[in-house]
Amino acid sequence: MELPVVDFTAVYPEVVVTLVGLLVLAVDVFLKPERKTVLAVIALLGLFLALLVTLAYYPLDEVAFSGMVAADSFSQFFKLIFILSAAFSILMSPRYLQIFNINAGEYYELIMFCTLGMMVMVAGNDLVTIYIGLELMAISIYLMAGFQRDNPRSSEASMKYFLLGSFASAILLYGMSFFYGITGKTNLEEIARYLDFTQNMLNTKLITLSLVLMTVAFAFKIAAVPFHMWTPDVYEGAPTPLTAFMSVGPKVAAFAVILRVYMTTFHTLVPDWTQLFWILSVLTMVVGNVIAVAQQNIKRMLAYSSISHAGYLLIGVISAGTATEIKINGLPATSLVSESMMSVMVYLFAYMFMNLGAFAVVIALAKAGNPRELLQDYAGLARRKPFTAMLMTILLLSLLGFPGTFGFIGKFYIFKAAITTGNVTIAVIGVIMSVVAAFYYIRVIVYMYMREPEGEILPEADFASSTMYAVITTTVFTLLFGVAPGFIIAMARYSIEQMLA
Amino acid sequence: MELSFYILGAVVLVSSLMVITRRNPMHSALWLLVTFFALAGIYLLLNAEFVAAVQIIIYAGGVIVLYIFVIMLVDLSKEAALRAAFSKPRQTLFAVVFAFMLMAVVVWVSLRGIVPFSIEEVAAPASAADSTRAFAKELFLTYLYPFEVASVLLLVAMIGSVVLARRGMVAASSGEKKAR
Repeated sequence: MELPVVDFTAVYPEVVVTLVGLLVLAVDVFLKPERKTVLAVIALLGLFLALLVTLAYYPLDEVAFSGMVAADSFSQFFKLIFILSAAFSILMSPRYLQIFNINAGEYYELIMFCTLGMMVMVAGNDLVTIYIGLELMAISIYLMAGFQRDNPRSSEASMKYFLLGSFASAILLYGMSFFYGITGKTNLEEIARYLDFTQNMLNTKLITLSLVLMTVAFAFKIAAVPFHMWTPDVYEGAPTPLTAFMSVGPKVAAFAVILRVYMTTFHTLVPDWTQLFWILSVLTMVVGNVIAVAQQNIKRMLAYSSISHAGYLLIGVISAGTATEIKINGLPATSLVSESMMSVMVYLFAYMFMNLGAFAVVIALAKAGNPRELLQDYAGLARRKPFTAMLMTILLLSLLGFPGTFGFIGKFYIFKAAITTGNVTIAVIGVIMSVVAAFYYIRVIVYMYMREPEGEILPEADFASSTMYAVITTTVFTLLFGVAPGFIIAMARYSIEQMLA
Repeated sequence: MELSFYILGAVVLVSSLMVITRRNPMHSALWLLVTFFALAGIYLLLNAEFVAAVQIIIYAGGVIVLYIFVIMLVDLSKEAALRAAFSKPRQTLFAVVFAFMLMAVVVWVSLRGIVPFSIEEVAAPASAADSTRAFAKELFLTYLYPFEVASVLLLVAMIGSVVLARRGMVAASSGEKKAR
């Protein structure tokens, strides 16, 4: 029997990340506990290499490993986001791990393998690959959430996320296995061909049921209401650098899979899933923003804010769905579809920078024995640490969608896509909810600049330089792409054209 | 052929009833072993000798050993307390209702079934001797990539179990230091 030649070109970034993860695992054994920072350096260098490789293979467009992997620029775009978010999370970790007595070795390994899982997931062209990637990502995160040994909240977060996440995985598998039962295929393209051919005439109810099951599982991963219950507790309990990582990575990965699977495979089911996402999106925006107003803990507030961002992102997905049904002069409106998908991708890129930056500020303020996560701890920060307060202000304004920041570009394209595709109602709800969001973002700024701290003033700790590097870099990118987003938009447009062609 | 199916089916039914009615948990575990072997026999009748082998190696070999470990680690002298904790009439009601619903769905689906329809020509099913070979081909050629990624997944699970196990050890050793 002749074995086929295995072509690794399609998965070079994944190979690099895996090898670096294994290298960190091996080096960890030989290092003394006080020199574990070396591991962060190795991981960062490895991620930089992976970034270069991903960029070098950006225009790639092929299906490899007998249809299991789609190495297209769509997946490369998201791989860039994962690599950057992993790098920023590692950058903000060393000091935090030290003061909260967390074992650094496994932490960096698991971040690398989690990144690998997300990369496998977005490049998955087969339900099996997507599922394996999702599980790799999820299991790494369950473990890392419980890394703060002496803190019962951390164990609670880990346990909660593990139990609920397992249920979500099981529900996803239900949906996937129903699709396999109906079509006899797991490959996305073949399922799409089957659905096209039968025009949903066969097993209609079963198809709808499995679509709903898969949607529920993805909604859990992006923390959309009503599947958001785990988010605040897990985000609050997990070590903060990891909270930053898990508020970005899994959410972006799930959105990438939603875009690929729902737009290319389930495009015959558009009326069904746009309805589902419509309800999810409205609930997510309303509940996320309104509850965030009541939070006194910054981590919880950012958790609810990240829930509400999933709501805005879903608007983009809905617009992309409805755009496939719009016909201009009897021709499909391809440009509307690609503009809507582009809005989601650009928003995700922006969300990565600003959310990681905001969490990095929270980490920079943490002190041994006192995480300083309450709103009260931020009172008068501008006088004590003017530079940090300024960076936090920029990041919060970006999360709010203030003009001149990357967050504004994201929101602008999302709402523009919604209006051009006729989803005016949801766009209006989104804008109203952005106004509600202004309340809790600006409240932090008010606390930093206009409130006097009550009681005794605790001096801030010395800031570890690496955490501040993360804050500064993310802020710079937030401003830079806020003024000149052309590069990111061009990259997103290019990859969508390639995927839809 | 049909006779052996009925015999195996009867063994499965009786042994699974024994699993849930024995008072001694160790007996339940052993009856479960019988169930697994009988199920493996049914798989063999369906020409799925690979699944049958996996059933015996993993379930009869691995899972049962795990169960027995757990049973031996649980303190059975508190049986009365455990019994009280697990016998809640409302939960029983829910369990019965859901069990019947599940049963109804299974029966309904087996009677009606999904509409089998393939848009391509279906290859002839592999004969009994070839099913392992066919399975290996699929696993190592078509599904090579997910298979390899699954190895990383197992590595992560292993790292995780080490982390969790060491956590207990660290807590214990720091407790000892304090005691001194």
